[in-house]
Amino acid sequence: MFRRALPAGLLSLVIALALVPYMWPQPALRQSLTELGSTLLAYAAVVGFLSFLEAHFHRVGARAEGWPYSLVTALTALAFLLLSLAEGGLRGNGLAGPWTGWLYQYGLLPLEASVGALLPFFMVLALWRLLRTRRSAYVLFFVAGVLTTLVLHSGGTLLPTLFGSFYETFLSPLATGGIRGILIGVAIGVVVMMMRAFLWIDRPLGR
Amino acid sequence: MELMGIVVALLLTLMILSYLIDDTAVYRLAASLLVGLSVGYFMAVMLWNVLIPQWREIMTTTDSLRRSLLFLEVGLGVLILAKGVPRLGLIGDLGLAVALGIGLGTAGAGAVFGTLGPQLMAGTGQGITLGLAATLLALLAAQFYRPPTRGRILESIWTGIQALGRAVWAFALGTLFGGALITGISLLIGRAEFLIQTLSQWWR
Repeated sequence: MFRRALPAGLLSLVIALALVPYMWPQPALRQSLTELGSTLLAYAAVVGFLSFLEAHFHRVGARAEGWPYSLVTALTALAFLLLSLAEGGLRGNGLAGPWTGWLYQYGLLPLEASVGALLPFFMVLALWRLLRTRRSAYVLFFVAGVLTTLVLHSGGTLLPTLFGSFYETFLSPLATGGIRGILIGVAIGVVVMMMRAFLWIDRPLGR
Repeated sequence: MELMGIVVALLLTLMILSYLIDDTAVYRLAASLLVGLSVGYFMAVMLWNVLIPQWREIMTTTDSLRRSLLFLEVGLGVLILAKGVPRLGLIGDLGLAVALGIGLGTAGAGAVFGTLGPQLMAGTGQGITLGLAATLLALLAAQFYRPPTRGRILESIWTGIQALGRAVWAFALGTLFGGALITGISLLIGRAEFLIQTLSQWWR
């Protein structure tokens, strides 16, 4: 009982405290809470990083399927962090070091951009599968939305000009209104989640 | 060093794009490197932008109130670190409760003042329009409210409204999908440009 009530009570108290600067403007309190939040996130990231390393080295130790990839993943993460620590120790900021910068510019950025470049292939394939497996009116509306965006951004053609007034009158309000409805729904969901934790209906901690 | 970097970037790009042929060991190696570098970079950012400046400030600040606040932050951070030790789970939960509370409170306030308020104002500000109707239909399709069943006609009207709402959802999500597709195509063009430029320079 106590084990679950204590974190839940503290959680409610902190939620109430975090809401205070929005109801009653207190810039200093707001800044302190933001700083505290980012600091705790950083400590949580340390726990997450250690857990990440443990999980991958466990796979390597157990010779689980695909263990060489786990070894590469864990060693790369560890090497990057140690390199930034070594460069930071010498120069004061580990992210501004030449080797860290080199790895970021010629390692991380090309990898991220290349994975992003694969995205259109995956998306077109997913769209094709959707069209083949599900035959409903909603799929047609979805495809209409996709085509609308593609036609409007088809540079170098007359399509955006020809299609423009129809889009502005009918399709743009439909898309904007729909996205607004989704955003409002997500916001209501976030508020409900906060209220459930505040009122102890959900107790995510103390298990 | 720059030439070596371009060679590495070229190889990594080709390794990732090899997935278009098949899911090979080369692609998986590049994907592992991507995950490792991303995690390492994220951790380095946390360390150098948040934790180390804070530890340095504790040692240098002369303001006692500021120092107390910094010690409180470090103390709560140590509580979160205790979460990594199963025996100290309860202590770790206290630190996580503070972190989660700040996150939930800020997200909830942001949702009310940053999303709900402005979006409702923007949606209703121009009177009854097609956009407002689309918003209402999209919200009704999410089934936040379901009226009690009163006869076949009302039931069929409700079903029709929900179907229209789902159609609005499908169209809106389709436009978002199209936007993401365009972003992906831009990245593909960027990578293709990089490959062509680099290879053509070497060919000369």
